[in-house]
Amino acid sequence: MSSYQVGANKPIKLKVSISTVGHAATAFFLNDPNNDGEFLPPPKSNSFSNTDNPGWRQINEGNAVQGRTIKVRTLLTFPSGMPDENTFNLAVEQAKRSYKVQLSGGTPSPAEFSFEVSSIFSPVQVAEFTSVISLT
Amino acid sequence: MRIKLLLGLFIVPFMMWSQSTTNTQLTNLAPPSSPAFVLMDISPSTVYTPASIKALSFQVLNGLGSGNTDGIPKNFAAEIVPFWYTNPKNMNFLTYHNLKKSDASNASVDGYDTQNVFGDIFKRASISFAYMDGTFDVFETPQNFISIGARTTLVKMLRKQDIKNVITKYKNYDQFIKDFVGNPNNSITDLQTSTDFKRVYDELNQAINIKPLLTVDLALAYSTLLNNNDSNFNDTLGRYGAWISTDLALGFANNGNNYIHIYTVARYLKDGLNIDAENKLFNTETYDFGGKLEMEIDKLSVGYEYLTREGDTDEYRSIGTVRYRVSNAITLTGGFGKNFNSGDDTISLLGVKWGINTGEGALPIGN
Repeated sequence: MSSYQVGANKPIKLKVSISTVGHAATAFFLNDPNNDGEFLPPPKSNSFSNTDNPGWRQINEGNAVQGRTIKVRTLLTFPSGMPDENTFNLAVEQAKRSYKVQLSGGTPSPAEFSFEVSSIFSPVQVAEFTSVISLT
Repeated sequence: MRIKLLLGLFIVPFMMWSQSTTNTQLTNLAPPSSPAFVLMDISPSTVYTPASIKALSFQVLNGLGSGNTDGIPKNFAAEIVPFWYTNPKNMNFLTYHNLKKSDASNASVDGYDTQNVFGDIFKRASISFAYMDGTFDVFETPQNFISIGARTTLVKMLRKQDIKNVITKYKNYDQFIKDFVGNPNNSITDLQTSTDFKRVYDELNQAINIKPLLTVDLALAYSTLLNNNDSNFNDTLGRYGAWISTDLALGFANNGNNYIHIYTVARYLKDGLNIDAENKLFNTETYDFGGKLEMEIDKLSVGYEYLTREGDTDEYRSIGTVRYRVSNAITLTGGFGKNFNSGDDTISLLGVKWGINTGEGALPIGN
């Protein structure tokens, strides 16, 4: 898990960018400190795809988020169908090279964060990019 | 049971036909997917597709030190699509499929209302490369041959209504995935069993893979003797090939599966791997021009094809064809008429074709 120093700053903003031949949709979740840290379902506006001109998005509707944890998840699918697993892997690698998770409003600003990737080729061609960031 | 019976009827004659035919790949009419291999008459058992350009360099350099006398790995075949190793900026599913906005300031998905018909030239370009030792039915001792080829789609033009349909299906798909990813309890394995996902996926997949109104494909290849082991042979001897084909697919009956195809094809081949009675090599040159009219009704295609061959020979091919797609992997083919090299005889061919059906119209039955 990464960490980002936000202090009492607000708003803290998130930007996720990806350049891919597939379809990418992103959502971010904040944990609920009153419920064992479980991640809360976000409002609908927290989900966006890479055709929706993502840009910067406010976390927690612009309120302070110190002490919370944010989970960023991007689902990458290939609705035109990759012809084989090798091509699928090349397409996922190409997307990984462009993928950026950035936060702004804390120190430093903006800051870029690491992510993990898991993928399945069959029966559904899908990859998931995940970042978990502690906001201190 | 009926399908098994049909397969049995077709497989036996196909096996007999394929065993009696040589160099059929060299004379295939549609631009080959791997032109370098076609020029060498090979079907490599292993085609190396590198995970990165660095991996390709490593593989070749590794071959340099593996005891090969020529400094190049023997019997090496590779195929790369350069696009996969680039880092395109701001690309998404729609721009990858050559859709673009007539008004760049329109932020909506509906803004993708036009297309770049030349968008596949680089994205779909592939380069094939092979280095082989072989006799090629000509030499007594194996010779070192190197071959390189490239293929691409020059033009791909979608119909206006097909673009609109892609956008409609895309919006359904996009909304489903947004809802799915927005639920923290969903995992990617849940997609495997989701019937709703299958529905929106299939709808978009069919919309995006519909046959274009027009496609123009091009392939080029060159092969040459690299280090000859016999001083009687000219170092520069080899083969050149160039193929270009167009497919105009006119839809009818409005069900998305019925088309009238008008194909045209032009091809040039120079072949230096011929040997005469005095064991001397000589070149042949052939130019093929022609076309085909084909009606495709669901899984059945019926067509007529005429090709004229000029150059060192003056022949023609006039043949009726029939294809039946049993599944995405198996297609039964048949032909009846006059073929190149058949003299005054009428020929009939039956065959079965294995492999992934890409949905692209290809002129069937080589020769």
